[in-house]
Amino acid sequence: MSEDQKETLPPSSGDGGRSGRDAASSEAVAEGVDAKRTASPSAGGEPGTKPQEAAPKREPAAKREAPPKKDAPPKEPDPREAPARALLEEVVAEVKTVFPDAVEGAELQKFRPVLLIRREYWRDVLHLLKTGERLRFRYLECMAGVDYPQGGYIEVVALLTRMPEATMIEAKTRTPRDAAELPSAVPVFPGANWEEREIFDLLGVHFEGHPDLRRIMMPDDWRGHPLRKDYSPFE
Amino acid sequence: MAEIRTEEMLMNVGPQHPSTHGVLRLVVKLDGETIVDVDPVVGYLHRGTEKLAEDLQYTQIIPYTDRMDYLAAMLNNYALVHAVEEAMELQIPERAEYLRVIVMELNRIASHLLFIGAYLLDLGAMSPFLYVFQDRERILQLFNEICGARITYNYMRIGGVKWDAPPGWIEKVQQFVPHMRESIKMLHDLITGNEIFLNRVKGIGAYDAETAIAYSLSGINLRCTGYKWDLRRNRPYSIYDRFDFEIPVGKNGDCFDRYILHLEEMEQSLRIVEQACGQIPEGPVMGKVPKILRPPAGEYYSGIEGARGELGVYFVSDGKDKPYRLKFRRPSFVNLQLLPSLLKGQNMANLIAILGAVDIVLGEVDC
Repeated sequence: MSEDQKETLPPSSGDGGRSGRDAASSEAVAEGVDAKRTASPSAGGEPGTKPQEAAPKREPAAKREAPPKKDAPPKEPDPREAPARALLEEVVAEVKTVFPDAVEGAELQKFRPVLLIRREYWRDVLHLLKTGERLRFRYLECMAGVDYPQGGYIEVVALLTRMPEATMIEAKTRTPRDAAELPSAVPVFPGANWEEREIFDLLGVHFEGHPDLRRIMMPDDWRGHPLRKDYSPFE
Repeated sequence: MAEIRTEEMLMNVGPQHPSTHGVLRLVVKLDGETIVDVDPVVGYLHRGTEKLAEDLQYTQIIPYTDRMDYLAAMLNNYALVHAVEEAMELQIPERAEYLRVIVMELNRIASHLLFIGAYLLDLGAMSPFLYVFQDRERILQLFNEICGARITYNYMRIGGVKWDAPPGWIEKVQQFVPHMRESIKMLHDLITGNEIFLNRVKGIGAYDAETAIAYSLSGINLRCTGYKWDLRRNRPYSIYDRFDFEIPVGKNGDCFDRYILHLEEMEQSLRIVEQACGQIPEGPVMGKVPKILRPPAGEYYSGIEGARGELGVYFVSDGKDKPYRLKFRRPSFVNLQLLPSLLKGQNMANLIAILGAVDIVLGEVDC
């Protein structure tokens, strides 16, 4: 966040109207971002250590911006944190009892449990997450594919919801870019059909066992997969 | 005597057909009058919004969302700004939240009105279309006054809304509410009791809640089966927890239930608008936000209850001012998947009745 003070304005259509108000103080800008964090009592606590890193580089504006950045590491615990972590642990434990080596990683993304699944187990784990006695994530809310050329893999994400509590978890898996292939989730979630076709079309992931894997957005004779980061329409 | 040779026939419906609500093409395999198979072909309106978004700053993406579900652009605007605001934990001024709720619910009414008009037009009734356009026009006038646009509003901003309501605008909305209630009554009188209409839609295209959930349906397409699922209640966002409103649900999951739920939801939206107009405080309409928006690196998802179902935004930020990847979960796209299995075995004449009731917008299906 430290570069927020650069005076460049986004060239967007919309911001002209409020620029007058915003220009009033650059410190307001910094406050806006961290409004929640600065509310914690520790915010003003240790300004003493601060200036030595921030001061040499910049004018006074930089100094003001520094304190919120400083108390970022401690982070007061959010009330949403604990239940989310409990859910994450519970889900990971459930999955591990059935598939001991299926879970490659587990973390929280904005208080949403995220499970990284080994791709051989992708469909089995989704099936377990849907039907497991204590899991019951039976509503596939969204599927997406993300290309990471630096890592050499494509990530496929499925957001699953437990109804009616509306508890959401995210299951994802990775497949190498040059031979992108995954077991299809359609036998588990019929609603994954078009989502997978879209991921196949735009990112080039082959879903094994998909009943009808064809392009859905681009013309049938299109070459390449537009949402890949290295896609160029001019080749 | 030689047998009469019969064969299945392929019929192409669309993409330029008034009853497909845009550029949807259906390849229908017919055995006489009975539908054997349907293959919906989409993508004619694909503009690559998700790819374009990767080269745009978050604020610059907002006008692109107007063009997805162009009948409910306010809700699209909100889905995006809400996702970014959640990611950055921004504080939104009270007045902005109220203005957003008012315009979103008005937009929901406008969208539902158009559904009713277009659906009846599909089924051969011309007059409801003309009536609903009168009321929709009043809503568009209100939008024109608040943001200068009738269809593509580009009204919301990350941190608030672009314009405060002009003087007297809230009063105009308040006057509109009772007028709209009268109109809904009129629509009931005009359509709901009509026997020809009832014969066309009762018991047609029915499915149950299990099917709907398995196919990830949302919005009215899910609620018509009797399953109460509305993100405004189930996963409250914005200030919806402050309003008193019901979630109408159907019983049979047929086309009639989907029709009637649109009318009932409009009444609930009016209740929300009425309460919001009564509670709206004075104050700023734009919060303090950084000039350059950089959501912290991570993955974010947030869904809202759009006019057609769950409108979700999934995005991956790498800490820069542009999304690394932005994915829209479009309700029309997901809801349309069930269509082939609904149509199998149906009479050809029911195709339009069932398709119309799914309530799709092709701008959103194709994105």
